[in-house]
Amino acid sequence: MAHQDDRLLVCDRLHIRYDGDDVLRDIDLSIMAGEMIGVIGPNGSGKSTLLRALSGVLAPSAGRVLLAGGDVQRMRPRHRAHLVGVVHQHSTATFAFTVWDVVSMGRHAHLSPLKGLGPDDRQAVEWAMQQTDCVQLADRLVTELSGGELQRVIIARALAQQPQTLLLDEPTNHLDINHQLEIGRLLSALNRERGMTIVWVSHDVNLASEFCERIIMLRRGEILTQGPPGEVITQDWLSKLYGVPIPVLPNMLSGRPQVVLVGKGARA
Amino acid sequence: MATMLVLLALLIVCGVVAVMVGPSGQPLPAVMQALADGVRASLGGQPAPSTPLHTIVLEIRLPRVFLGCLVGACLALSGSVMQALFQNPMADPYIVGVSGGASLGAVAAMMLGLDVAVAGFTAIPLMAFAGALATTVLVYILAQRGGRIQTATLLLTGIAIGSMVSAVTALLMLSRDELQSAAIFWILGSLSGRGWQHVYALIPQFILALGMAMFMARPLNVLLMGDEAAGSVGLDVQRTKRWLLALSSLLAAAAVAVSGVIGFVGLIVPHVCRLIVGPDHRVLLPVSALAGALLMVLADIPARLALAPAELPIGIITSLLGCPFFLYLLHRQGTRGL
Repeated sequence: MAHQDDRLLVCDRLHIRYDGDDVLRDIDLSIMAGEMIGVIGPNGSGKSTLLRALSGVLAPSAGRVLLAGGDVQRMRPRHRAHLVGVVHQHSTATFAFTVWDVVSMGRHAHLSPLKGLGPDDRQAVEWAMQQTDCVQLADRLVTELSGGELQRVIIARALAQQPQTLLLDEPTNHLDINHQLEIGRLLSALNRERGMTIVWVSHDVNLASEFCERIIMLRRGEILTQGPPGEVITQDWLSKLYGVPIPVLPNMLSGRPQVVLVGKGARA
Repeated sequence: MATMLVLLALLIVCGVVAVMVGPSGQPLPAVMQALADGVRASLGGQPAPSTPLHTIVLEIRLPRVFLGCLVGACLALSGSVMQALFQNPMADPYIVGVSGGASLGAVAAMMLGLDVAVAGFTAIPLMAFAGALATTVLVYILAQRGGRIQTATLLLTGIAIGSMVSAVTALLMLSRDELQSAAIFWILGSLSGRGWQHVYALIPQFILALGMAMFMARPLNVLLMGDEAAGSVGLDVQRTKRWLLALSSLLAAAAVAVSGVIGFVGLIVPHVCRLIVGPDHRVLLPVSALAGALLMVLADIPARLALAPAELPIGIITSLLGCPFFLYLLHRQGTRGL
């Protein structure tokens, strides 16, 4: 096959069974280097599970996940960390580290056992904090941050890691709209300017539609459809995905399809 | 950094005081002279005179102070690591069965009345060490599921096996009346009757502990973020946990074999230090070690003097001394960062 080396993330008949439930069924998926992917679907469709399988944290019941051609389950964590960084959904801060300390932990795979942070590492940490608007939080304890602030710190930690691919599981859940847009733009910039591959699991269809170039729709553990937002974020597909009619109109400012919320009494 | 220097200074001062103080009431200047003689002798000068005073200071008190430092440091370090491993504030060095196994080994040695001597050690510390390690290995094997260790499983298995082993120990103790007070005294922990060979025996463990503090401080910090987050920044979580478990069990086993089950130090010292210097293990580990050493040296003074010429088990003192201080700190700062 042509361009096989461009396939950064591959799911090869990935199947995950949890407590007797088939959470992911025979998923075949290829993600090329440099793509910006949005994964959407209702609760329980397997989005988070897919992300955890891609990151190597969850072992497949059948099938494989390949990262740059290598089986992610057989990779040494240090090597894997250069390829994939992860931002999880729920972050809790139980220990009183400073924001700087937590973001610096993202450099773990780049550090040798006895040496501390070198100038490159510091630069990466500072950059990561600038990008996520965390610089003024540097000396604060993570146990004292608001949910949104903590989430930005966790994103900064993944950025400091400077992986080839960033996997994000609902990273903007706790964030105010301004920060949601900031993160969206940041991820777009990382994708465009640094060629970082982004896989963004989101509840928010509009965010995914606005920022991602390919949307994957998961329903009950299977890929319902995938493609550019223009083709896939349609009333037709969304209704199949969520089981109710969902009106879609083009975003007046950007042209991307957006879900329109209609209250009681108005017709779809 | 400042905290470490303060603790080190305190430690040295208290160490000297501990050597000077004792039930046989020797005058201060004579004790200082004896110490000086001893230092000169160890630096290759003429050997120290063997007067009773010199023997007391150099062969009884001084090794005891050093031993207290090493035991305290090993226990505090082991406790710090266990608390990070299990992310449970109730974790202590003995949590995977070390104390139960050591007690069983020691009581069995007392029962059998073995007359063994290996490298200057009698049967009791040898069998205590063996018992501690055997129990830890047993707990580890039983807690495996598909090649992986879940910390919750390890914790519960350790508690279960520990209880079982304690029951067997109690049974052995009941079967022989004359054993009971010796066994209890040993189990409660004491530095009495230990000499330089005990100190030398702990030195390799201590070097191990220093190595651990240097290499594992950062991985320990990363572990505190949670297994998934730690894995995603590149830490080999399973392998790191195995190493940490092995090292801290070894430290605890060595300390217990030499001095019995001294409670409180491994549990509370790391907490106190964390409340003062925070959770960063690059600072927490050395500070805990120094604080543990200090606590032991301080606690040994009343242990020797309170009921002189009889001795109190030091474990009683560490709890009596340490608890009020810990409660005070807790009251002031809450469980933030615990």
